[in-house]
Amino acid sequence: MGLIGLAILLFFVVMSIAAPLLTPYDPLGDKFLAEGVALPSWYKAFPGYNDFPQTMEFVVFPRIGQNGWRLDSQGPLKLVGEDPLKLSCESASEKSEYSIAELTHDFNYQYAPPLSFQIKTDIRFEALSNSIYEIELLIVNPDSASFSLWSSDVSTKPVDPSELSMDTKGLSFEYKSKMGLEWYQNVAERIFSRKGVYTLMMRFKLKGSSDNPAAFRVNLDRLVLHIPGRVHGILGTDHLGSDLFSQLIYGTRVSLLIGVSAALLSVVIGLIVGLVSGYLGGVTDEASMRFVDVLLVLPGLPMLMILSGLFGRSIWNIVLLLGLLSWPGFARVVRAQVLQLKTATYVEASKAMGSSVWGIMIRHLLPNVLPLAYATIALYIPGAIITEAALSFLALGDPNTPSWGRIFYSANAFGAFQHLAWWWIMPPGIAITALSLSFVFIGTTMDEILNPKVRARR
Amino acid sequence: MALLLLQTLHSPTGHTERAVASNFSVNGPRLDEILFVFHATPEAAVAAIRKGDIDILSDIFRPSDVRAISEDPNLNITFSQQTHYCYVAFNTRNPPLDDKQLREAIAHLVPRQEIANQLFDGITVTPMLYETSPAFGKWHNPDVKVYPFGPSSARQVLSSAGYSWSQDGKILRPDGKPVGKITFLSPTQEEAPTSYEIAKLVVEEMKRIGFEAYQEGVAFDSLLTRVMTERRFDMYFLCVSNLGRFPRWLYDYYHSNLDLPDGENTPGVRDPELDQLLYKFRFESETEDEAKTAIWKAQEKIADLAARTPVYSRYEIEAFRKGWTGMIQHKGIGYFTSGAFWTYLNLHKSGTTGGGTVKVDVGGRVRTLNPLYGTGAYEQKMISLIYDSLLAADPETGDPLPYLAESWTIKDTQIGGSKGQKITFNLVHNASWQDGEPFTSNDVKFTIEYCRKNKIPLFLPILERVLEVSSPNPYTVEVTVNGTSLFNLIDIGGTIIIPEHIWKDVTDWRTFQPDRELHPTKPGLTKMVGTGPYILSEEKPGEYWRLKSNPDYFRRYSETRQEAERPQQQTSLYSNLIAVVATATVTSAAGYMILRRRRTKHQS
Amino acid sequence: MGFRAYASRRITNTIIILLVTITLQFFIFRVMPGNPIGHFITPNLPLEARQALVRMWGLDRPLHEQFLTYLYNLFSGKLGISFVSQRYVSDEIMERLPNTILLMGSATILTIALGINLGVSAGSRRGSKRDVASVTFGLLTEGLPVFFLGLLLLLTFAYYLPIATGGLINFPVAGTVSRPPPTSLLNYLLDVLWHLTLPMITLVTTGFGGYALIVRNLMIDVLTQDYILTARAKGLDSRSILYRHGLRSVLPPITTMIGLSLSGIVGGAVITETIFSWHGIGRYLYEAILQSDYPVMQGTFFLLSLVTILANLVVDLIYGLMDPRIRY
Repeated sequence: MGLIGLAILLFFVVMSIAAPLLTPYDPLGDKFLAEGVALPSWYKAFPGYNDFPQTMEFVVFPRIGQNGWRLDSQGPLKLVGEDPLKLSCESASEKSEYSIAELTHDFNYQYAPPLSFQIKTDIRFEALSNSIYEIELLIVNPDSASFSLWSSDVSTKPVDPSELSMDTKGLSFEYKSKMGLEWYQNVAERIFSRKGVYTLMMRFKLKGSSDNPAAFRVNLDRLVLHIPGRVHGILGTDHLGSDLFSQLIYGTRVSLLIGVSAALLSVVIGLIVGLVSGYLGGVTDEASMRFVDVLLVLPGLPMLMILSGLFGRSIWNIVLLLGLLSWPGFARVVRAQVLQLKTATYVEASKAMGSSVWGIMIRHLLPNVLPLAYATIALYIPGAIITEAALSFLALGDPNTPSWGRIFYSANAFGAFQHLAWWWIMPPGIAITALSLSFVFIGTTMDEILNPKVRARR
Repeated sequence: MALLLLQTLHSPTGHTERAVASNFSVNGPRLDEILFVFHATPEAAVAAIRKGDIDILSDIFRPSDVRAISEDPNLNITFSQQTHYCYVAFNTRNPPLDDKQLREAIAHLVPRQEIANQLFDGITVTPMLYETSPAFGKWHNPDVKVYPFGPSSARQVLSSAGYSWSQDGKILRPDGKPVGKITFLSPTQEEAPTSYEIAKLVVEEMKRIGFEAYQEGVAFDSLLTRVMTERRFDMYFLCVSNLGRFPRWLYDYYHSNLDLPDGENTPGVRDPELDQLLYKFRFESETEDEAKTAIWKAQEKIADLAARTPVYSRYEIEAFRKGWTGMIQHKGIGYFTSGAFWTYLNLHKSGTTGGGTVKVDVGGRVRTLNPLYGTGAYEQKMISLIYDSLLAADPETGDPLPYLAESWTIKDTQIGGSKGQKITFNLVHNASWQDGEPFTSNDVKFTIEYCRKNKIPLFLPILERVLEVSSPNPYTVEVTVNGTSLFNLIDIGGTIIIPEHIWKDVTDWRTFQPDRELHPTKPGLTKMVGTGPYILSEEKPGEYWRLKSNPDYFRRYSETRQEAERPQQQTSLYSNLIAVVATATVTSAAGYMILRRRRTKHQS
Repeated sequence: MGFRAYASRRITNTIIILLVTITLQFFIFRVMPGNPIGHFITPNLPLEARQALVRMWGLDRPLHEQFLTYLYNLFSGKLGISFVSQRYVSDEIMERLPNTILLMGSATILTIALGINLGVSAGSRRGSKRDVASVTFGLLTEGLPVFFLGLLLLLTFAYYLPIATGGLINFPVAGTVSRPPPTSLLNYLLDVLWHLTLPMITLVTTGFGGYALIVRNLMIDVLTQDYILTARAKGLDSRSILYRHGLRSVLPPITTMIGLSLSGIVGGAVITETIFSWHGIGRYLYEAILQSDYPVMQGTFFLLSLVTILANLVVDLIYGLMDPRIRY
């Protein structure tokens, strides 16, 4: 049994040490790796999910031709340079209507509809001598339906870089209703409703002013169509698009650290206090036990909440608080045992022989309370881990550390439980349970090995 | 049915006042009962409405819930703009943020759309450019200066103000020295993860353009202390809601009188012209036009000062099960949430004229049903259906409508050396308290004087301007008020009226729980007696509240329908007995289990 | 010493502890950062009104005056007046106490009964398949966080299954009773039990493992003692050995554990009460902490401490009666 426990523990320890090797992402810092609450990649094996997109980008390079744009050469815009793409229009005559020029780029989309997409590019245009322009960015689906994604105002002013960036999530309710969508429905799903060849189009409308011919310059850098994936990684993403697998792995470190430190702290303090107070009796016992009683009387979780508000919510404070929470209870149990044990004949005999107080405690009493200690450590470690998870769940944990409790917290806050996003909830749950189990197996086996009475009986 | 009276009165001082002409009028209630129930988590509430345990749910805010509900064929989902508003505030007292143009530049660095998209899936909030949102209707000035997101605009503003950039990209003041550290306070990540993220995004934008910006997440209480009491901050992010139908909060937020510890003017704005406009709006405007002019101009100045910059406003998203109709959208509030009073008069099952029970999620903890202390949104849902006020508000415009007062007149008077108003309310004749006593002007006089005498904090701002109340006859009340603001009418008209015959014997208004004491004479009622459309008939604290419709309501729906029964107060006292019995049962079962094992062991 | 002397000593100690605890708690709350007025800051409540609230709550008085008010509140029986609701804390506690005792009481009793049973049977058959199976099962469930199991149970049995089976399997989603509850006594009782099911299963499942493990280890330890060997040699059968000798030695630490868990019965479990919308004391205290509602925190802590202290006193006195060796 102990071997199994040890094996599980080893697994977790290796996982926590090797964390940076197992995953390239920063568990909390790397956000928007994919759509929020993305499914794990292996979900694609299930029917109906085979063609879910992972995060992908379509890049249109700032040139004419391969991987770049197609330019209608009869139109008013002429190519002047590449990388960045430079176009210019210097038509001599003034027109009363707009002349239209289009840059197009085709790409093939063979996946299920995405939940959103973003387009970013650096573009700079100048309307010389007050000519008027309007620029529109559209996307045309395989059925030739076109959707206007962005348009500039009709203008004569130059436009700064980085002004062309759009996100389907930001499209207004009016836009959606024009498309026949309800306000809560998804524009990207409607646009990318089927697989096939899509066309990105940038349309320029140019017009000269009454006394000036149209003169116009465009500088266009790379254009990126970014589609956040609906699947990602080994365990998908949380609501902010951070990788859940990373959070699980890095969380192992945190949980192991917290669990072991807090439990050790509790048990060590409790052992010392219980032994000393139980054996020495008298004033020492009275004082210690009064102190223990006062501490015991304070309700645990509320005290934790108050103190964590007081001392701040870093990991070490939490370890300290968890450790300090449990030792009084253990001390009392130890003392009760000691009170029984110290009346045993061999103890009396030892005292009669003149053994020192410490000698008796260490040689006779300690070995008899150790089994209790092992059982308690084995119980406290998972207890500490779970209490930390509960604290995080109640929004009182350390917000900057990717602990397992924090995974539960964001899962709950963003509706993962409600919608049974089991790939989000189950892994930390299984992890906590497995880790608890391993410690208990180990504890039990240690107990059998170290307890002299038990050993003798075998 | 109450009729709308238009009265034109010429007063000795030449001031004219008319009752507002509005066509809005609704009678009810048309339901037999409203059952308010409590759920402690959004999970439970959403599960309840999808299962049919409740019919109405408000304050939905998780995008995943919005999707689930919108896809449910049994549910309808609505959204309304609210007067909710989240903003970034600047401390204008000290450098570097004492420079208006620096603030303008930072206002251009708030990525509002990105915030709405990333953190709210783009559907549960709307980015805001106006501090006074369009939800305020005619009080909203759309022609003020705005600061849309644009790092290039920010750069432009800074350059034209004389700022420059050092070799390594840091921003330098016109005198060449670096601008220095700017700290942005926000709630902690655990307490308010989205607020924390928002601050983070803004700080990132600020850093990108060369500011030395840092984010500091502090516990909410500490945040309030630092911001409100100590004024120790550079920038902070906060949200407010329930701002009311009129932008009166602008006075608290920007008048120099409020620039003191615990005052709302946290940025420290001291502009005499703005002070004048705000004061005029709040205390001196006699007509709506005067008020509107003043507040529109004030909004212009406020936008210019950029002491705060808005970020977003949350939509009120509500769901209801199909089969119900008659809900009314209240501008700036919603259909069913706290403040949507008219809905509960008019709500009824589709295809019927009335009847039935509707189950509504109460939304949050009901702290107390004492109407003088319980001003939390959740208890208000019930209190506003049990007690009425002299006037009601038009759901679209917010204008005052007759209610317990069927008409009113306002005369200017002189009090000592200052101007005042004498407002005369003519009360309806057919209203009565839920225990049968008639509603008269004595009750109104009693209410106003009682609240003033006991200095009830939540009524202080309204009633401290009242100088005198008199009731010359049972259906007329005259209130003399300091100042000539049009809000005098609205404030006094909006105060709920409590019954004199119950409250005159109350020794401590603070701890009095009218819902927990039985009525002295009428069986089946508690002391929670109002004139309102619903009567509290049963309550299980923290779990549910049953409000049965008032069969004698003065605005009752005239179509013939079944007489609603007089509500019977069911004692929930013996539920405690049941709890004890159940515990005892379980205990003895467990004990038996143990003992039985032991016995068989011994016997073998 | 005689029992009388022992008892009076214990009682004196209890009183001392009570006084120390009360004083300690007062200062902890005051030292805590937090601004009770914070939750009342809205533009609807202007400065003068807020200042009036502060005066009403007595927060502007000097600290020693507040301490005296605090003591008076505790001993006057009303336990003070909540800032947030302006109701007597004792009234609000009484509203919630039956619910908490019902849930926690039944859950604790079942947990302990189950835990002891399992622990004893596993400990006495050490190494057997039964032992290993019990231990493993107990630990598996012990390692489950309460909120994890609770949420899953709630969502499965009160949300997904009802919708999927059209109401065939339908557990309640919130509360101690249906809204509105049935009127006949028997149906009401059944209704309460029906609402009690899911939260109780959650608490018992996650709790019994701990007890089982400790009892098991204690049993093992005791059963390897010399006097047990002697009893076996004397020819006594194992069952009577188990119960007459073994259990007796194990009883003191177990009684201590039970005594410690008594305050939990009154204090409630905030997570379970939140998930199942149970109107109990655990959530009451949690909300008070978040809102810096001092009177509520003070009153509730006082109550919990009192219960714990009294429970310990009773346990100590019972010890003293049972085992003369303990008294000294």
